Amino acid sequence: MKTLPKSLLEVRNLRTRFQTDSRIAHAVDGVDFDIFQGEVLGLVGESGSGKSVTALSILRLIPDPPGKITDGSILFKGRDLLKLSWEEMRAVRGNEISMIFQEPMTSLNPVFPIGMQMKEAVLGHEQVSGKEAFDRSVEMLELVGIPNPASRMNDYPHQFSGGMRQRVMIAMALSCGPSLLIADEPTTALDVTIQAQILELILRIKDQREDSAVLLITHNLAVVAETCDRVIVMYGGKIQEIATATELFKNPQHPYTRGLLASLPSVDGERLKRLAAIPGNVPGIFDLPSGCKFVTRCSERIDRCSEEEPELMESAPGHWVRCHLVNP
Amino acid sequence: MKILEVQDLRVSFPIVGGVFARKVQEVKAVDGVSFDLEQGETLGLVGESGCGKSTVGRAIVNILRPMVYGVEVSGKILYHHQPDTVDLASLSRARMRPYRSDIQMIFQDPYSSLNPRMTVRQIVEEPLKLHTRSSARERMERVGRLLEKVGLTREQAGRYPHEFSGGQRQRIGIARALATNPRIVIADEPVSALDVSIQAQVVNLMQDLQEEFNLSYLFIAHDLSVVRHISRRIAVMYLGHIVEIGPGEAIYKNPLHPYSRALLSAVPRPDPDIPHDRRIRLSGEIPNPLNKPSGCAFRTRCPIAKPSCADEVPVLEIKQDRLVACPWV
Repeated sequence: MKTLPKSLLEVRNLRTRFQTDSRIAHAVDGVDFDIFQGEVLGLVGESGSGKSVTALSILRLIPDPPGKITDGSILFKGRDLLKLSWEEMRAVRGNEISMIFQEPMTSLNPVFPIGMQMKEAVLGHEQVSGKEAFDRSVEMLELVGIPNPASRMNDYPHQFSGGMRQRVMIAMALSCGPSLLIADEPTTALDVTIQAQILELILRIKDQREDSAVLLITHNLAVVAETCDRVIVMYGGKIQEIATATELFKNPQHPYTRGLLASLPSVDGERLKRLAAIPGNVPGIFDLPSGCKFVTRCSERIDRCSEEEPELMESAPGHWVRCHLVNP
Repeated sequence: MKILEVQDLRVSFPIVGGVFARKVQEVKAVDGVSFDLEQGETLGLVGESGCGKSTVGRAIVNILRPMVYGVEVSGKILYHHQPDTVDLASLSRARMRPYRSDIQMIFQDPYSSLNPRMTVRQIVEEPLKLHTRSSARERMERVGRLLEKVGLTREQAGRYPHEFSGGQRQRIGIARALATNPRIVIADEPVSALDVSIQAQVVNLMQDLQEEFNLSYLFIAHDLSVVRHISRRIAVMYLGHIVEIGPGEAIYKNPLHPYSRALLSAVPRPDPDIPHDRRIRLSGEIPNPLNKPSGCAFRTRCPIAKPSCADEVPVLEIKQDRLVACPWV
């Protein structure tokens, strides 16, 4: 019998909202999922789907105001991250959970050499000497494939190319050996040949520690297919579908997932005359419809869809779908 | 029928330095590029950032000189408009003006390419004011028709860009480009800033409009799957050179130049069963265009490079059904 995978992180009923003078947006509206040890979990969605807000909520980096986590729990190694004090949370960030962002230029401080910023990351979390922090930083830069790392410690971020900067960010994120790495669109700003290198690098993190996991946030379904074990599809602040990557791409259930996959032009397959586009626009988070969030664009909707929001239900083992048609 | 012929196009940008801001160096962004564009076809121009693909597009619409002080453009950009042929590269801004309505551009970022203080009507009407002699009433009617053509409504003409989503803004940009009945449209990454579910809509719209108005597209993009879908022919660029140009399907099925091979193999596929080891791993990064490698620009990353590659810049030669700039394939 296969042993059940152990959860590294358990998100339950997470709700994060943003408030302006007159309106409230439920950017993340009751999200439940687990991240298992040793897996790469993909979180897919378009702008406004709530995928990045979910990640920032895990690290409690939601700017408050206007944002606020209003409900839920995030269990990480037996502790609820939402109940930790600011100092305790600081110790978790970078140490146990690290994050890399889309734009490596804005995530690095342009006026300090990268060596200094890397040492700072190590010294902020561990009781080591400056020399040890320097050595560790050089070692990490070498691991992520930066040539002559010791000689580049005094270089500034602008002296690195986009791909190299993303490597520096990954080196920094890994310098304290975190057990969870959250990567938010890590390759979106990079060229395809560089993207392939960076994705391979992110996957290698799992070799460092057996119990570690990666949460990869992206809009790119092809990147998910290449890297992830399981996939969560978000739309309108809610999880619409969860499945293993193999299952999701072979047997997508939610009309949104099916629509997304059908709309992708192919590189090797048959060249279609027209793409199968999903009609309509991605709704803004202030104007989400009642009932199913996808109802305004769904070609298969029934009356019930706009009246009652479907529940996320398990339609096959490990395959969860939020749709009235799949789970009548 | 050829509508545009680009011959040996070279664009170099100056690097200025010192207290007198003298030119100290130059970047050869486009270094001898030649291709044709047929009436009604789509030529896809692909390559990674810094390869010069956007500069080619801007050189064709002749907006580099006012954009960058000291830029040098040489070569020929022959525009065939019956019965004459005119070299756009040799024209001053004023003399370019009659041709500007024939060659229009769609930009990548629908957020920064529309003036936020203008209504949609003003945005789409502006090229009509500049290039046509028409009454206000005629222009209004034309704006309404254009908006309907791109999938918006006449009623939306009074709104401002911020009231629209990214996909709708790109539709406004397309309506503006079509206002003067152009024959050639340069589309510079027209869908890469859009959400996945919106990209297909805009691609379909561009194809419909091409069919209806017999437009010629130069489709510049880094997303290889979108380019394959929309293009009849493809040109692959690397560091200012075209390394392979030919029929799209043939190149995608069997790329010949080692860079085209690596580029296509690196594109992620939406199928978990495709093995990862198909990738040709390129070592290193794209070289700094300021000190390009001698000879073949790709040789520093090329898996089949030979010592002699450093000697001469390879020229495009006929290989099977296409042109390839590599003597070893």
